[in-house]
Amino acid sequence: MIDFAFTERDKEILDEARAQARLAARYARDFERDEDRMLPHVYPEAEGRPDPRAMLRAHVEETSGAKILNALLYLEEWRGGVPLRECRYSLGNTVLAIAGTPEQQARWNDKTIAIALTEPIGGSDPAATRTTATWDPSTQEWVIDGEKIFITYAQSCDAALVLARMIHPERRGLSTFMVEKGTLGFTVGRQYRKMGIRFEDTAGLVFSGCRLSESHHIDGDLKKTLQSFSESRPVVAAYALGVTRAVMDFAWARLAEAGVTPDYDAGPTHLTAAADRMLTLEAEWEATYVTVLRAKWVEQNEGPGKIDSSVAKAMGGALARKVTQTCLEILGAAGLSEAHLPEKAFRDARIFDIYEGTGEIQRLIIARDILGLSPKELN
Amino acid sequence: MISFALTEDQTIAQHAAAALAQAHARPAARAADEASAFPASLIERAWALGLVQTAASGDAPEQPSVLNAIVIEEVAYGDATLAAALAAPLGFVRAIAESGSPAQRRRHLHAFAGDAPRFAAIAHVESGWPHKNNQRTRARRAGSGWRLDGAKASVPLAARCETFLVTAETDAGARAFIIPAAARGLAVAQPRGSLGLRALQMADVVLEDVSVSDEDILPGNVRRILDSGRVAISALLSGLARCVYDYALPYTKQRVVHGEALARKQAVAFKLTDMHIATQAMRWMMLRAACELDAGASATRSASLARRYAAEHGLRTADEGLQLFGGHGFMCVMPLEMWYRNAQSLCVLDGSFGV
Repeated sequence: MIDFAFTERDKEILDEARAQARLAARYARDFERDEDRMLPHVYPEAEGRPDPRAMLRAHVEETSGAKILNALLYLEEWRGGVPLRECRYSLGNTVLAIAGTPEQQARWNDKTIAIALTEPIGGSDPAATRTTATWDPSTQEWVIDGEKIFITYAQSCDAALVLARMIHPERRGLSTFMVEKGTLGFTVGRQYRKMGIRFEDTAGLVFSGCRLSESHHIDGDLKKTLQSFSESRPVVAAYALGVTRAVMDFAWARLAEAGVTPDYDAGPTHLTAAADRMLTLEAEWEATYVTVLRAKWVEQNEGPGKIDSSVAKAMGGALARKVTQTCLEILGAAGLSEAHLPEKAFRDARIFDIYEGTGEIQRLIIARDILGLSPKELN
Repeated sequence: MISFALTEDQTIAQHAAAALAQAHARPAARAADEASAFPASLIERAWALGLVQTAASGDAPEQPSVLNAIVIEEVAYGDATLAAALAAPLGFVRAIAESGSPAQRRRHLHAFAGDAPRFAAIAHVESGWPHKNNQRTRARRAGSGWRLDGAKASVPLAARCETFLVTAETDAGARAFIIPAAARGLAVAQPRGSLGLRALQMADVVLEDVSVSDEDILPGNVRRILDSGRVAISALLSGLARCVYDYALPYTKQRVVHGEALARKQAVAFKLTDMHIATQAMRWMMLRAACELDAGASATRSASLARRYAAEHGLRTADEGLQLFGGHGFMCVMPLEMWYRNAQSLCVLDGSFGV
């Protein structure tokens, strides 16, 4: 039966996450001036409060499902501006779980594994990857050389899963390699100076003659591996939902002080311009919300749905831009002040239409699928 | 518990509606538009889907609004005008069945439980240009009853309606009044023709000092009627948008410009992508609002936002679909200009339909 209502357990878990997001809001600006600072695993305010993800794990059968709830937990957390408890969600771990052998999984399961895909030449086209993995038959080792940029968890990760082009007498094409911290020739750059999401650990990686045994070669089906992105895309849209919800709530509160309240019954000739624009944003927010639920529901029931995921991501990216821009315009000059959070949300939210595949890349993925065109035919 | 799974009954109803849309509604749509009338057989076929009769029987299926919205959407995929012709009496019957007193249900529902199509409509849209008062049709107390004055616009199939559910402002807010078409002082104007949904023969209903007894005022306020109307508009636009998208997509693969299929150009492919995204989001929003209606909670926010999104993106989808055909889209030999007119019309008909 089609249903959009939460279970009692859903509500309990999400309410707790929302309460914790409120507690985290006081730390929202901690990284604004000091991007080299690392996010703590947990802030003291979390002391004595249950971890919402542990609640989810313990009672998953009483919820709407782990995938849906996990995405909604991110939505709640992003209302706060920084997470009260760090929840590392790294695609490197997802890829290991999909493509690693049982031995490889046992070895790196509990590590934080950054995914290293994007290169200075670009991130949207993996086929253009220049980083190489050269097979050295004399030592039976792979030698990794290349540079990766914009890598999340670059500094705090235990290892990086690197996409590289194989140079091997019998193998060719792209594959992934586990390069652990401390490997000779693996260096991490300094934290990037970014417009927003300054609490996220982002830096470049350089691999210069890193030698790896075959046991570090995560040799799964690459196509399948890259499809794991389908899982994380709706999660980014959930980030966008959280940030934009906080900005819209802030804007509505200021508008209420000016006597403007949401009127869902009024026709277009009976709304102020501000209320009309805000209601358009509310509609876009709800539209994005249902596509995120849809993508995660499909994933829960049928495995990651490539198209549903890209629909949600494209919606989330566009929502983040439109909501923050419109709300800042409605709030006027006061909204620019660092005394309040909307200006931070404006800077943070801009990344959501870029990372994990830009809005344009999502559209390419969808367009190729609905039109039945290959990447060669539509690019 | 969040779920997008339709029940077996919902799937069966959806398939029946899809079959009607493909075999009968779509092929007849252009002729109905040109004649400003449906062939009787087509109305009978739509009626045979059973939505109105079921609503009138008092034996509500599980999630009636969801079921009705799914069927209306599917018929609208074939022809939004035909779907609207079904959603208009459905709105009336659902309002009486859900909000009416036992006496009102006994008196007004029986006629709709049979196999022959019967007509009635909610008359909500105000006649005339935008005005500072949302609701100019007024009901004032007169003895033990009410007297109504005002004018309603764009009432679907008004000339064939036996009864109207007229919304009017009272001193205690908007209420809905059940008024027979034959009531003294009620006049159905000649249809003037309209931009779209032409076969609905929409006409003004003018009320001059119409007397209504207390027994004919619907208990409670009109909120639920309006919310149901918003879901209906969302369903109509959702079906229409999906129809335009499905029609335009294959064309862009066949049409060669500058030596290459239109579909292989990003500017075109991305338009189709945005149409796909919008039709998905419209559909889920519409179903969410329908779910909330069925759950009995206030659905005003979700229904109003679903309608707002559907109006903007449904129209844009019809608009961009037409654009993809260039000059052919403008020609009446193709359905795109009709769909475009229908989409624009649906955007302004709040409260005329229901699920």
